[in-house]
Amino acid sequence: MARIWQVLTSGMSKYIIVRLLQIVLVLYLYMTLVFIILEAQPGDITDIYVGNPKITPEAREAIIKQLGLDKPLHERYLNYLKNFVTGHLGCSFKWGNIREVPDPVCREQRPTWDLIKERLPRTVLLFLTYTIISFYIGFFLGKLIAWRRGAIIEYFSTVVGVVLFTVFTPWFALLLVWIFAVNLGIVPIGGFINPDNWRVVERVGTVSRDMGVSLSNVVFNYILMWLGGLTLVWGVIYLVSQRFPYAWQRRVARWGSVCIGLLAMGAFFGGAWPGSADQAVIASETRFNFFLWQLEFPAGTIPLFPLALDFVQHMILPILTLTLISFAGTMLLMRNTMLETMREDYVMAAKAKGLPDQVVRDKHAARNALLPVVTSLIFAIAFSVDGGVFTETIFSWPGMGKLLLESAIEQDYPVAIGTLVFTGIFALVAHLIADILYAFLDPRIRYD
Amino acid sequence: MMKYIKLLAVVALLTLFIGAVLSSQSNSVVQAQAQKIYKLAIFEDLSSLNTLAVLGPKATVWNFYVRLNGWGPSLFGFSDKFYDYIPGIADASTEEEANKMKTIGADKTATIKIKKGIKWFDPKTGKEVGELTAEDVAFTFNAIGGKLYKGIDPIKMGGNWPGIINPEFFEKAEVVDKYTVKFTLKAQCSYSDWDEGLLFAPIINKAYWEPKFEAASKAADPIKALYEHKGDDEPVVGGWFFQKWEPGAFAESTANKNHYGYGVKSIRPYAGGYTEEKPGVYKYVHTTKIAFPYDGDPGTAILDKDKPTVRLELTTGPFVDAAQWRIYGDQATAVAALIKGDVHILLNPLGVAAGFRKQLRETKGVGIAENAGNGLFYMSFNLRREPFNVKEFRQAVSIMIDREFVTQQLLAGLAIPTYGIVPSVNTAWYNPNIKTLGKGLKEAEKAAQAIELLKKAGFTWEVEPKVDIAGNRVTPGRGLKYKGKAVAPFELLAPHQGYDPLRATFALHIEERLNKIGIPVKVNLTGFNTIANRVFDEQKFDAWILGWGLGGTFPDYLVEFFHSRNSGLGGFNPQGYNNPEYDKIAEEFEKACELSKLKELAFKMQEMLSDELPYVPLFNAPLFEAYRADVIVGERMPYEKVLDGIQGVNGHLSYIQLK
Repeated sequence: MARIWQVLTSGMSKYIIVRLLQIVLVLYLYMTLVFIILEAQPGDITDIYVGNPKITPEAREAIIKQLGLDKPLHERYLNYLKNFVTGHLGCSFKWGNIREVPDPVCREQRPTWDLIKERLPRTVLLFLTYTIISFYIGFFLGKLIAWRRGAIIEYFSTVVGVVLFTVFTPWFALLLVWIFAVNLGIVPIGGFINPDNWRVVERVGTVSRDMGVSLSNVVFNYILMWLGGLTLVWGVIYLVSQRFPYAWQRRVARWGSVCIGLLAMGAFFGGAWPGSADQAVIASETRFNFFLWQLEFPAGTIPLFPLALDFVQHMILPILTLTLISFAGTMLLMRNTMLETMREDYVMAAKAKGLPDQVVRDKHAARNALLPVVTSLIFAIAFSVDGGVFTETIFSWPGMGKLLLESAIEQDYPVAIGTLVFTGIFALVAHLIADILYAFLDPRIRYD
Repeated sequence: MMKYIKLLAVVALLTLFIGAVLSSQSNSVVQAQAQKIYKLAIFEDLSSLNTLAVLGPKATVWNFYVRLNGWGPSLFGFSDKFYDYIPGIADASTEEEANKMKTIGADKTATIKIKKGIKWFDPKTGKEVGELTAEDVAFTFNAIGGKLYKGIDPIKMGGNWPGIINPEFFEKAEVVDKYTVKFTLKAQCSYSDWDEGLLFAPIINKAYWEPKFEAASKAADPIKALYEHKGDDEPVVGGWFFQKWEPGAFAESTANKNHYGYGVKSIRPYAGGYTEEKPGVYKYVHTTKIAFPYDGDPGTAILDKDKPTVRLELTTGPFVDAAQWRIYGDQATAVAALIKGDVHILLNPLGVAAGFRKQLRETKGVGIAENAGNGLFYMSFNLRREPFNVKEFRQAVSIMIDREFVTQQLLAGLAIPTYGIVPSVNTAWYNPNIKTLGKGLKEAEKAAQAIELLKKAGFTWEVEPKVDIAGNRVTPGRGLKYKGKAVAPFELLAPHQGYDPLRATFALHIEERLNKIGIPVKVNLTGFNTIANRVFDEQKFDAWILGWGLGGTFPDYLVEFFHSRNSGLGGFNPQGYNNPEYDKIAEEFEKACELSKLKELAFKMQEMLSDELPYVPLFNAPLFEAYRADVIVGERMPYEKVLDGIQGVNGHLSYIQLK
């Protein structure tokens, strides 16, 4: 804690303020650039009707007017800036309203923010999970092959990693689909839920009949909330436990909090949490085809956990694909920095002290080699919000990447711009966090 | 100790995973047996649930597939597969009666009776919410037709609405009695506006929509106010209740086995004619024998060996419990899902891509339906400029294109060579006697004919191309001149390979062949939007290749695409074809009442177009569709010799039976 305080008071506050101002300026330039680039595309969204003689030029003109595409460019630009400043990312040209109560600004159109809210949890859950798994595997293998330089494991990991790193993603993803989903039949082919399970469930409460609210997103959001909350709590407990004098105390605090957190999460999703009726869903059938079990429930309220498990089942193949394709990046980065660190005097000193190899590797060398990997991880996490076009397309995982691609191709400018701006904000904030973390992780760095 | 705990944890996880694998497989079987769900793969999500918007600005095929099934009944319609013009909710027992009813009198009115006992259902509860009466019919036309509410009319509603209810043709609809509606129109006849326009319009529920129209008309922007309703609870009369939509994943409708049309039997005897009957309720007899054989070859269509006198016998369902549209992001994944059995059919307006066809043919249990698409892929020019405004020039271009070579050799049969504007499979309207310039000629023969035509029109060359007919060789020429002035190199816009390999291949072939005889063309393979924008919105182009999905079978597009009134910016005639003689025939066609007259004029227009060539027709793409033949049973499959295939009838939900 003292370290955090020390970092924040050592000229850091001023640095953060300056960086925030820079971020605002960069964001404005970025938004303008995005607007100009997208608007520079020929035609507009109504081009999809060219080729359909049943839609007359007058009917097309009416749609252009309805969408405000007949207004001059500068007016549309100012509208877009005004919308952004007032916290509104505009209204989609393509998507119509699907809520019982329409958005007061967008009316018959769907707000961009609504689409982002729908797609973001799906993308974040998938890509964050893969990013963490992939980085962990990369970090672990990187330090291992650096430590055992010249051994067979180094050649093997490097060759396999680089081959997978350079493989054509759609081809590889389809290959895995054919092996694991079609031939072995052990994972679903695509999608993020099994419609056979979800067709019989409905949410309890006021939004139950409102199809504008995706039921799967309700569950996605709960999962994300819990994982985010628990990570935060565990982070704090980890930091606090560092002050405990004995190792057993630290272990008890850390593992204890993990167990309690998981139990609490299990209780919530299992429906045993106080007020759980609010989180439950109504089922009109009693038999479900879920990942681990064939579940039988009495008709009526069922807990959320089987629905959450359905996501897990659908995440296996995309995560496997993405991890296999990308772990080599982190592995090679870690290997290189670790090789440099291993030449440092303090590593030599640790070895000379007679410390076990594992301790020297993990606590002295690997920790100091972590900085570039952490930076890379932060950016990867930030960019995980924009998803992956190939992955989301092939695995029919409708997230942010697919939304961005479709909206750009179909010239649904408000959505394309909104998605890009949203991702841009994340990227800028990630840079700031990375800079702050540098100072935190490496005491030699100062922002005076 | 820690090591043992970790090992134990890994073993436990592995056990759970294997258990999951085994249980998930056995569960699929249990699930499948519980209910019969017809599962259709689609490739894009719904963008609106509001059916008025779906026919308006949200007119995508994906919305149509899901939302328009069992929705809005029409007064008249086409019989399944054979396109007999038959009553929908209009009450007629014979063809003569139906014809009499829909004939517009000298006073420009027509009185239509509707069937009694047709019920509206609430899709959420499945309960009846009233009877479909003349009030609903009159309300539909007056409200949408712009006669009741300020700020609402078909033009403002956009999309398909002006084509369904043309405000320049429709005057008003009045309720005569509970089951009779009187239409007053602005002309005594217009086939596209009346027979396949107003009479095909979907009828909406007055009780549901009236307050919404009223409120909308008082809003600042009535159209926005009308389209902002979610609309998923709109009453229906058909066989499907829209129930569930999980955005990005699936949509589902459940079967309504109490709807009016349930159990209706329709029989089409082999010798022709058509009978439709709901025992004890109504019977309709259509006596015309194959007036419009759209399937192209009535003699070889479905023939049941056990009933040689019956070509097609159908009973209307639904025969399944639900229809589920599963959304896939990619065709490769959807094909995998079909092979695995996760879905029963792939629904796509473009059919299955060429790369998957062989694999699907060889997969046990997968059935294939091949049908002609009702479309046209063509090349056209900017006829406002030289040399494109020279008829012989366009004819020479058409002659030089070896459609058969491209479709059969380069595209391996993925396309059908086309010479006419109306697809040849639309046999009711296709004129088989149109000119087919250059058809069946070898390259050198084509070149010789084209050079001769160009010379006749006053074209010369700096170096004239030489033709060796015996050796089928053409020595390229260069420096084409027209009236002594060099013909500047021109640009042929065409969609790039990624968007459409068929059109891109044709474009490259055209470039190669035309350059051989000295026509200086350069292909620009670019994005669809770029072409659409330059051609339709800006009219800044030399020549282009694009395609039309022709939708209906009635060829009113012969007027839309080539009448000079449509040659302004944004119009359907961007090529600027301006032929007063053609315009006159087109206007006559618009006013004609008799089918025989319409056909005669349509044939005349096709003949003129095949000579004048404002469009150079290139090819038509057949539709290849795949389904689980081992699960889908009954009389519907294979669904072949039908324009636009299974997707053209939105997956044929109400006839499908599953094992």
